[in-house]
Amino acid sequence: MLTKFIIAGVVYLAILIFLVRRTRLKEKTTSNYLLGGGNIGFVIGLFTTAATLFSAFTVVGMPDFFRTHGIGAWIFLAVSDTMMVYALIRIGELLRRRARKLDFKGMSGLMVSTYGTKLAGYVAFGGAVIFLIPYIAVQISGISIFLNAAFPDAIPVWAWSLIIVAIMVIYSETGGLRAIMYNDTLQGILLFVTIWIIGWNCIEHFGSIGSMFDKVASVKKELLSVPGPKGLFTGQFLLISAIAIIALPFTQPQISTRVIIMKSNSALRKMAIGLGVVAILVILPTMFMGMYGAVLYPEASTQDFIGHVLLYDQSTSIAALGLIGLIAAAISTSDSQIFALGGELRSLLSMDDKKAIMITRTFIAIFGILALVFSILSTQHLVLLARTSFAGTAMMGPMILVGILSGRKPSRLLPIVTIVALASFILSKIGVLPSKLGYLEMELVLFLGLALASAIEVWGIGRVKRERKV
Amino acid sequence: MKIKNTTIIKILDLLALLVFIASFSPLVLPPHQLDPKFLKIPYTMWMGFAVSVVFVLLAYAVSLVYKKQKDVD
Repeated sequence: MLTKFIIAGVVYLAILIFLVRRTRLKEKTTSNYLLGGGNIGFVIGLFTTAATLFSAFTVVGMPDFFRTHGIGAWIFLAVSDTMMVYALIRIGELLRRRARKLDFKGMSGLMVSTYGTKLAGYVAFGGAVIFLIPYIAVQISGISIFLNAAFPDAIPVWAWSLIIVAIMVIYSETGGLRAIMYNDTLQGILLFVTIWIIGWNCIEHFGSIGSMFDKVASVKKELLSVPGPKGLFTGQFLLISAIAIIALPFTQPQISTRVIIMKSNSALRKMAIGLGVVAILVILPTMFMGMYGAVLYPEASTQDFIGHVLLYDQSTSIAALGLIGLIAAAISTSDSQIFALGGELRSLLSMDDKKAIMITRTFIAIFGILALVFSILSTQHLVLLARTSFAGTAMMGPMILVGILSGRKPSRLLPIVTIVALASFILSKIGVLPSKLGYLEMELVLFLGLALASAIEVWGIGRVKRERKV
Repeated sequence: MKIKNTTIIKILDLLALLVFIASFSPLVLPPHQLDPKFLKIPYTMWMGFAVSVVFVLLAYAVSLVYKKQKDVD
């Protein structure tokens, strides 16, 4: 298989190099380098957003989530993703209108403009860095550990991580967002094809979808209902996850940038609906893979199970394609996130564009190195860490939404409450604060607090300001 | 009688909210329940799938209204 993997890897790298050469920018400006020229059509927009959204956590994490916790994982991701699509269409156009009016460079800069205080921008930037870097790191480490297990005599884990980060940083630095988006399109197609071939093979093992569920019921019936065998999928867990995922287009800068730089509102709407369909089509085969694992490898470790379902139980050609698909999935999400962090930093800099871009490019490399260091130190808990990242950035959702939707400059209330919520969330995750308050999960309490602060801002403070104006 | 676009959007929002609430209620998430099955697929799975499709359809309906709104503008 090593030979086939090397051939597939060389072909993949050759295409990446070709795309980088095509998109190479001689003169780098905020508009062409960080915002890809701001004129993205529906097809590229769909693939780049899908590739950014469906990462290694989908390919590796979701099959394992289905295998361990059962069909509630569908509600956790697929239902939440399609809810997100509805919110994206309803609020996306308003976000675009506001962003274009205020010369959008990044969400942090947009918050500075809408709130009229740098505090809001720093909160948005800080939240993105704190929650995205560990998520990027865990994806890189997950894939590197897996590659090391597939080829134990090749190179050490850290060397795989180094190769992945080097590829990401080099082509992000060279071609900017447009290069990333073309690569995302390639990676999205590769991932989609691979995941369906493997998913289909899993169904074929059972003969039909019905037989697959019959077999799972005979092995572990609890997998076919909620809350699942380990009791994870409670209503509260799924609700918090849904809120976090619905907020993604507004709270995770790599997605909000793509929403804003779409060519037109019509392209955005087509992209959003396409994204809903793609979400269903991408998550469905991961469910087949998970159910296959539940029957054949119920007690195996994540690594063992993924090794079997993606590699050892497939033909060598599919396995090589699966490995490249995995690397592609990790790269396409991580490079977009690192690049978006650079964009967020740029949006907070008020200086000559050339100088600002130079600083941004330096920091993109620094963010890459930070992710590499974290990836060497971190462990694998892909899905739950992804969820923590989503929930963490979702804490910024109310502040961002009020900033975008408010017709006036809001007060500092929401930036301050958001800092408190982010700090409380982190403290509860590291065990300093409790994870539950009474019956309610801490995240839900914090979301309720933020919703209350938003209500006070909009109907309390906002009303007083409007009346004074009159 | 012609219904205003804003009214249609409000109706769609209300429908989305109702499906959202139902998605986290025992209607879609009955604990430890596999039946009634549909083509041997357990209840929460096929209901969850249906909810996903409903949300995509609602999103499509909203996009049609927006498109119509723009044409009128």
